[in-house]
Amino acid sequence: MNARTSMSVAGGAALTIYALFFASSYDQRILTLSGIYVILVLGYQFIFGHAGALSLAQGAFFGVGAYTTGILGSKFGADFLLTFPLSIVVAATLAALVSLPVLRLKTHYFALATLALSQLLLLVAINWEPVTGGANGLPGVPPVTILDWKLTRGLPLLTFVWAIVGMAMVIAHMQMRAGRVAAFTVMRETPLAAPSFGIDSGMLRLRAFLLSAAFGGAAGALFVHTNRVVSPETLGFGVMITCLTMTVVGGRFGILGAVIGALLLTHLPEWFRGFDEYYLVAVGILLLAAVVFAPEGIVALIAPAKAPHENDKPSLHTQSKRASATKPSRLALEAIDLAKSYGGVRALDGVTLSFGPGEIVGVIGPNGAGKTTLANVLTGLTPVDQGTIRLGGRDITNTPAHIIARMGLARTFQTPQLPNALTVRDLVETTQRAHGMSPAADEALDLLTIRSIADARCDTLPHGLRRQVEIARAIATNPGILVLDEPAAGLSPDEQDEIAAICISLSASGMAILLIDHNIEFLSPCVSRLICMEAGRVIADGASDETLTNPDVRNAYFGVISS
Amino acid sequence: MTGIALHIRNLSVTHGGVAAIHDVSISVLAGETAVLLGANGAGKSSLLRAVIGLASSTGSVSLGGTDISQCTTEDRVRLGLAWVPEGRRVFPGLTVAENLLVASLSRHAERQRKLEEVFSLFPQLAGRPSDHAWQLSGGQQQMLAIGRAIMAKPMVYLLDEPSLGLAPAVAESVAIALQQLASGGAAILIGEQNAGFVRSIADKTIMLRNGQITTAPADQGQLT
Amino acid sequence: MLLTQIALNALALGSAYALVAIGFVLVLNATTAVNFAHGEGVVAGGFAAVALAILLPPDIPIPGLLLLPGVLLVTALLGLAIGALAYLPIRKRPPISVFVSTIAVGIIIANGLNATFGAAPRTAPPLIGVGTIEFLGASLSRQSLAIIGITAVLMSGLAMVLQRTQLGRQFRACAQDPEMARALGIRLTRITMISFALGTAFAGAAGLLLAHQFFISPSDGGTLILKAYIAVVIGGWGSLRGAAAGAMLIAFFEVGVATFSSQPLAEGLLYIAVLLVLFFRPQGLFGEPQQVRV
Repeated sequence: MNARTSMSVAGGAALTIYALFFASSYDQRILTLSGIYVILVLGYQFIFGHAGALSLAQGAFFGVGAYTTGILGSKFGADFLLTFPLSIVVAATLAALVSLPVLRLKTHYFALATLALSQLLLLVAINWEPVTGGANGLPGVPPVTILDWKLTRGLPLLTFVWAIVGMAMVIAHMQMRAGRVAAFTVMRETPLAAPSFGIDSGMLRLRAFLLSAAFGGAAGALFVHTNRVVSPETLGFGVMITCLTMTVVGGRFGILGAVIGALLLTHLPEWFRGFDEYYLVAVGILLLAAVVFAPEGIVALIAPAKAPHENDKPSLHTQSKRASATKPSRLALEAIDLAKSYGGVRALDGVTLSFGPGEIVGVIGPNGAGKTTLANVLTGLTPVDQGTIRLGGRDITNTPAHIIARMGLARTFQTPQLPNALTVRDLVETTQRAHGMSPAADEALDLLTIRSIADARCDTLPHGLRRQVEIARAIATNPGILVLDEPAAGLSPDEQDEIAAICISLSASGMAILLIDHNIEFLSPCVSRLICMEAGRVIADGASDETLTNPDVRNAYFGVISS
Repeated sequence: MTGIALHIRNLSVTHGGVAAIHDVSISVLAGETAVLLGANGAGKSSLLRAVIGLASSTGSVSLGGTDISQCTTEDRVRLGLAWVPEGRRVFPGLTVAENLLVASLSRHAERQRKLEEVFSLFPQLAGRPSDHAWQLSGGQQQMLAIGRAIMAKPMVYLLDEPSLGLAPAVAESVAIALQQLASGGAAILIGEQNAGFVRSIADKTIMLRNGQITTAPADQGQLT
Repeated sequence: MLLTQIALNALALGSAYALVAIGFVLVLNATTAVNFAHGEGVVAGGFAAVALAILLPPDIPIPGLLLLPGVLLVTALLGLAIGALAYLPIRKRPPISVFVSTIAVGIIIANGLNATFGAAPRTAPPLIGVGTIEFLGASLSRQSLAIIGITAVLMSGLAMVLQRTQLGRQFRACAQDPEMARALGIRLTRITMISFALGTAFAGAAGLLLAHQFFISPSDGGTLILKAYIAVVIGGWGSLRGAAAGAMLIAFFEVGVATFSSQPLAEGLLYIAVLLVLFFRPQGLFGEPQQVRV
């Protein structure tokens, strides 16, 4: 049992004893509220923590759940078994409706859009009087009623709410199994590159957003049962601020963080009673202090986690949709007349090339020749303006990058795209999972002779190893095509030789490799063909020495030094 | 003007755990042009960034005898170091004159005098002080970037790939301007991969390879 | 000439919004971070005017105008505090951290004002007296005219500083390429702090201008930051001119819709319009699509 678990058990026991034997009815009410906020924060952790998106709509989902239960309860006296699921469904449906315009937005725009949504709902609640009761809201929301059983306030409601909290915890835990947490980490920390590893960022974000809304709706429903009245305050920015503060102060990941944040912030008014009206100022100061001094939340201070996902290892080798020890699929990549402009600059200007199984093709060219743009276009990260790309005969022009990756095209990046918080093994296995394979990193790690660092966190690795980890991740999915963008840059000659040897052995097994690099000493011994690019065009494509002696290449590439 | 203007001792730069620059020592005299020759990825940019203080490093850097290893970038510039980065990085939304003026650390009158000086060194810029920098050609942008460095009246210039993407004739005029700066007593350290560009102006050449100084002669495979 | 008056009102409201939005962009450009406490800067300006008004002798014809320097000073100091507490310590962290830390500062300001002045809306003295001026058959509100005038003066002052002074050049250089600016010896931290002071002072001035006609209460910050934010998204992220244009657009939209139906409907439609803009043009109405390279 690790420190975090034992602390949770001890804390939970102490809290239970306090609630049962020592808490006044007022204290019990506060504890009930704490439970409701735990659910809200658990939901917010999906989108704000795991997906890393600053949603300002969590308060809105809370309010939507509150109004759904409030309206159905006070006007029709509807049963909890109807109102509670409906509150969740309405909130999640709203999230699904707005997800299309909102979810693809980046940081600040996403925050703005979710804020605008919240304000819109608040306006509706205040002004749609016949339904919402306007600014005063609707009184007379019934207690939790299940069939004919009415739940009274105090201990029964407290127990009931915390039972639902328990269920929420189980759902959150199941949703965030180790593999998925790792996928979220890759998406959050290397957002631009993630699709190239087969990760469907759009789906992950949608999942996080829907879950956050569903949890928010559930919390809002329970809140009005506790207050017995629903008012625009449940939709106000105050709820959002409270939720954000709890999450930042408690911790963005994990159940314990949610519980600590919610318990602390609901009890703070009691402890800070002496501050009177300045209490909320104290909350602001607490939030500011947490951001500055404890960016990972209190939970990280009292029980430092290893990586957040290490607490629960998944049962390995259970899901095997595809055996991982297969030979790479034999694929050919064909690009015809590709063009891509940035602003006025033609980064690619009619590029045509192709390569197939067992080939290693080198691409050289001066800075700004369009080599990296070529890699980004071939792997689907950058849409082309014109031209066709075929992978194994299928047209993949402007197909989403994660689908291209899953079809068997893997790549590495000029700057290794490794998320800090993952171990090497988790990183490799996350990519395998994203490809629908059972996680088994060892084979790929062995090939690069880096199995010894399987359990090291990526941010502890030196540069040379980072490149090897990237290559291990790329080949771990047995791709038919491998695109390596400057794999030798910054490596020692020995390390370069090692990479070259690995490329040769991979191509011997049928893999097609595109090697983009500057270093001809590195490329010459291993490539079967050499392409030279200049100003977005292919100016030579042939055997290595043919290309190197081509007068155009000498002129463009070696410039004055060959004179 | 003699004496060591820039003295780099045992400089090492690490990126994510591995040495981008390992134990490099270089000294450049006043009036001297030193060229750091090496392939892409050899570490030229890392070294120059470390000297100007934008990349953290170990070892020491002194400027005219003053140790500046602990200084911020801003202070290094104020003590007489200038950096002309790869890709020029002129301020696209500022005019030619504004790009130059903003780099001056002096009062108004001196600022204007220095501006005229840059314009006389680069007549191509003099004709279009009110054009925005993004409207300039690559060569003119390079001149503007060097002119911007001159405005601060530095004793040491660091230039990163000044010939990159320039037509031979334009590169030639940039080289001539650099020669004039050196003959005025400035020390110049240039990071280059184009040996042809610097051949005519280098007083000494330092080969950089895999982050270390090497004595091996330049061969083609390396000078790419 | 009802239409003239409506247009004048919209122009006045747009002017005040433009000050808020421009202040927001000043900070945004210096930090690449959103200052979410900016709306509270407006509120603080309004309450500074309310508080300082007590010091004025009675029966002054131009009370609001006299308060302007004091309001600018108070909110400039507030801006420095925001920068020092919520930005400098975490400048190297992801932008989302500054977003949250400035939300925290916003909570502190709003609730501090709430505890000190109470939650009720307050009004600041008029700028150059009340009533209307008759001009070419139209009666024009003095307050609206004064708002437009003061905004014009402040904006031309800013334009003058940005275009003609060394400080202005340094400002713009830092906004375009902060690292390069540092490498030219420009003290980035100093420029950043001045941006916070100047940006928040602009917000404060807007608070004074808005607080007579529209009242001001401690909880108004949220709506105001939202409008500034929308103006900046419409006008193109980081563009001062765009922000001013976006602010005007919002004001005319609001006043126009409110004249023919109701204020809540105007606001609601505005938020829907924003969501639609973001859906069809995620880079903003006038912004350029941005390419990010891996």
